[in-house]
Amino acid sequence: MRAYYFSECPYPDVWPRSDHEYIRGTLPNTYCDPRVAADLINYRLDEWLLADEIGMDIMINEHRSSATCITASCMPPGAMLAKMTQKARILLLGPTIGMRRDPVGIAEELAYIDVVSRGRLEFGLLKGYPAEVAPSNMNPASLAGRYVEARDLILKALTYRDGPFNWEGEHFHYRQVNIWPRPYQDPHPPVWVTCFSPFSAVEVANQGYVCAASVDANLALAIFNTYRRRCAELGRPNPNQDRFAYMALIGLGNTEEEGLERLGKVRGWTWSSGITPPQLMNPPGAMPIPGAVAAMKKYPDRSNWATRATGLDGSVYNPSADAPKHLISSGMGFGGTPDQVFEQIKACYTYLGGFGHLNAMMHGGDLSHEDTTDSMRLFAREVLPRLKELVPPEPVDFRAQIEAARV
Amino acid sequence: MAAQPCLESLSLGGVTTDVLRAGSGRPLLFLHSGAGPDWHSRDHLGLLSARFEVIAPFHPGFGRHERPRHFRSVDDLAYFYLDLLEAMSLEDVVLAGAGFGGWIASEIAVRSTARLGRLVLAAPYGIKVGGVEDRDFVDFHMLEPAERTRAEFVDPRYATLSYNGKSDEELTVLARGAESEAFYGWSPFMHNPQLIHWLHRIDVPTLILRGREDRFITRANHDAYLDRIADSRMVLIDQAASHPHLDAPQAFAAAIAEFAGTGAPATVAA
Repeated sequence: MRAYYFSECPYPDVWPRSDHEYIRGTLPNTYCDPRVAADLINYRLDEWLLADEIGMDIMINEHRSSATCITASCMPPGAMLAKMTQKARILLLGPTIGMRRDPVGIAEELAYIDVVSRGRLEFGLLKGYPAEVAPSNMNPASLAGRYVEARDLILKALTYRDGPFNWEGEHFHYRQVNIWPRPYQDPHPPVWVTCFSPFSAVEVANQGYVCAASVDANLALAIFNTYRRRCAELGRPNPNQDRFAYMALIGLGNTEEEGLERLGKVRGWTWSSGITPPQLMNPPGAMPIPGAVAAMKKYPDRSNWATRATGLDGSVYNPSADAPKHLISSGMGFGGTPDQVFEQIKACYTYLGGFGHLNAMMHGGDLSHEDTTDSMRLFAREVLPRLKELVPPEPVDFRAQIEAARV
Repeated sequence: MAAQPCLESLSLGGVTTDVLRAGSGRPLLFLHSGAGPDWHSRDHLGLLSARFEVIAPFHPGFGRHERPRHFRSVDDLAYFYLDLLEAMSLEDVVLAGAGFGGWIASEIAVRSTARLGRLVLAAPYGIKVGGVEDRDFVDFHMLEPAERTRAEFVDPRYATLSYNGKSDEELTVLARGAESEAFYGWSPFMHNPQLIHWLHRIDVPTLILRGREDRFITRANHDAYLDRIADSRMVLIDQAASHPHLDAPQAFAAAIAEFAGTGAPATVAA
């Protein structure tokens, strides 16, 4: 198993404003002190450098116009870390290609980072969070088709070796595509896609990309098994562990109390993610019509995964408000001493049928740089070596299930 | 008031949509705002059908049918309706567009007025007159849904957002309408930058209807139609905001009837 240190690089100083305004999309940047932002960004870059030093990998994401994440693009930190690190895989999860106008430019930047890092890039092909529609002004009603076309164009630009090609599609027009440099990895760096529903895992399986799940183990299991079942339907062998990634919030301490306290601060991410204007969360067309209908039926109730979760034991809790230990019950988070965290991850790993990548959100909210690095060092020293030794559980035989259903 | 409009399916050039029809007399093609011609109410259609043969289609991509795969812009809607006028052999038509439908009606009229007798644009979108940093239109996608609804209507029946009691089919029509309006009008936002330069081609008498309480579109924007269309006038409708046909259906229908020469003088202030 590989473990990727991740922080959304939040700006928590303004979060108290959430008692009367949103902290995503609409909060004026007069409330952003660039000196504070400089500290925050440099701390996070230092943590990514530390990850490389202690045997972890690196994960970077992007959101725009938000005090929940001030990495507006994953490309600049990706490029810096490509130069400044030695061994870590650099996972950009990733460029939100459904929200960007220039897929060929994205391919060029990805290839550049892959070359500088001498082949250590992994990258996501993401539609983008609905709230990204406002800052990008990309049309939400054509997002699905634009995403697929951008994906295909980026991959062709990364892999085509025989001189300029043209692309005159529904959404993008180029007549001379010929990126320099080409990527270091051949034919291209590994591709990841985030999945928030089993439905979306089908296409990810069709393409054979790494399927990145998050939120909790119940949802992840449905997603992973959809992927596995789809592979079986296509007559492929059971997918390797490296096709599955699971993101969790993680806090380690020298005592259980300290670890849970750190986990409690990391889950500031969970809480803050929901402080978004509702009209930004559901722009027209950003989700398929059945999803939009479901959202209307719920309106004005805004409860979601960030405020209501179900543990594997059936208990219902509020991930944003209840004691951090509840996060463990649904696999949303792991916290405590290294031994405890190892056992928690192992249980989740077994429940999910194994996974090859752990996207470890070990910083969030106002967790200090010192606490973050201490938590990371404990993880890398005492947990990660044991995770690498984990043996995957016996896979569910979906091919046999499909055969049985036929009979 | 005439009988309730009846719903028919219409297929034209491989595109299927639904159309509400009622009444008899001079043909009136009503191009809707919102999710469809019967969004919130059919009162305006009933009132119009007392004087006109009302033909009120759902725009392709609204209502029960999915958006045609090859439709990309308001241009496609305009050509679809030009085909429809021809296919139905309509002459001397009163073309009345509301809101987004007003934009479509303008695009139709700059292309051809051969089958039109009158043009009515009620709180139309479609052109922009302000500068780069001016907002001719409120960015209604950025309003909280209930706030948007409060702002776009005067009538309290419509100004209160509620999805309670609606069937999945009704909610699907609302969701599809919102999606398609965004699809056609996202960027440039609710206008075609070129359209204003061709408004002079509209050579039929034109009526601009504007709600006195319109909070979404600047007065200067609607005044520009008067400057650009030779034979044009504006009527302001009391107690109406962004959808005069819903807030004030009586005044809306009366203004159109008077303008088209088929009714008594409208009881609205000019």
